Amino acid sequence: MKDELRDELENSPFLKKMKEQPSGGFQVPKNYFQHLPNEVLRKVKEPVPAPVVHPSLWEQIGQFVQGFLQPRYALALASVVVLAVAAVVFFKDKNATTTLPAMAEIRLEDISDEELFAYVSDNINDYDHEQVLEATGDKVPALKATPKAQGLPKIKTQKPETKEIEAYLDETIDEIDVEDLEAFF
Amino acid sequence: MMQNSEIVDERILSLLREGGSHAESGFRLLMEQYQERLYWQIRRMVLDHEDANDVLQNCLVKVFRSSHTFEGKSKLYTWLYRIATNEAITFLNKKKQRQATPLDAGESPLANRLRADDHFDGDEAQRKLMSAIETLPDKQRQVFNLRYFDEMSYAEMSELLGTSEGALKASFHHAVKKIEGFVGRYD
Repeated sequence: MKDELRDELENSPFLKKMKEQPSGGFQVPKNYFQHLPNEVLRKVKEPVPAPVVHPSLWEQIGQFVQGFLQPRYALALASVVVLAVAAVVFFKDKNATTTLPAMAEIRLEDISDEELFAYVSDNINDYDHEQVLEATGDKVPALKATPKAQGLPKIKTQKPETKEIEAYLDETIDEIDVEDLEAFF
Repeated sequence: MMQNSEIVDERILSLLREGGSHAESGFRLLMEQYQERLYWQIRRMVLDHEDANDVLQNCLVKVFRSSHTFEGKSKLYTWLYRIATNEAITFLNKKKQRQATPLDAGESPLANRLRADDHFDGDEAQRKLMSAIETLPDKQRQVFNLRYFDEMSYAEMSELLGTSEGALKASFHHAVKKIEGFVGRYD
């Protein structure tokens, strides 16, 4: 024991006594240190086990999303998306159609005559005469000049005179079948 | 002028850097030079031979696989010692989690373990000494072992542990008092 250490243990009788005793206590198996290098080198040559990686929260979310991108899930997901888009488009168009008359009423004054003529011409067959006249009335007098409008019976918004009615009936009476007349009465 | 141990260290590192069969030769030389010192350092920390063997083998495997990272800023043994100590502390922490050891309940379970250990032939006094050392905190136990068993100078210990010589002297002094107190209580 070095003198320096002996001085440090001066007031420690147990440790001083133990230090001065012949060494004993721990033992190693026979030839342990001779065999150790080969044992360690054998371990060194073993393939390194892949480290266990715990995925982070974002990686877990990524894996979850990736699961949906596998063929069987991707097909189902794509079908759902297509149905959802189709539903949105369908209901959007439906809403637009149902609100069109209201919009037309509100913005009627903003629409030019040409636009109105074109629309009515294209869709004239969708409405009966009363609807067309009710919708246009005197607001669009130019409509009466269109070829289709000229083909319609000329109806005045003012109450017609009795003579005019009689004259019209005389002109058309011959064209009406007796059976049709009976149907009126 | 370089000391003999430094020349051997240079040779070891040179062979390890060359790789292949040279690296294996270098590693054998390293083990020949340091395995016993490392073993006893670890054994005094973990006490049981089987545990010490596992820790030492893991330590040496790590040394071989990371030898290219040694930059030569410290002595080779300082680097080896740090790896061995970290490995032993990690092992002890895991072991502590598995089993709670009462530190103040008469004769510690360690004394019984040593009595049953085929690789311990010490007497009652030596078992008591080992039990007392086991009660020290890890860092203080390192200081005590290096000073008491290896008789390492405080200057060397300071380089090894990165602690001032004054702090190391105080730590050793307190460790000695604790051990004497432990032994005195159970005489």
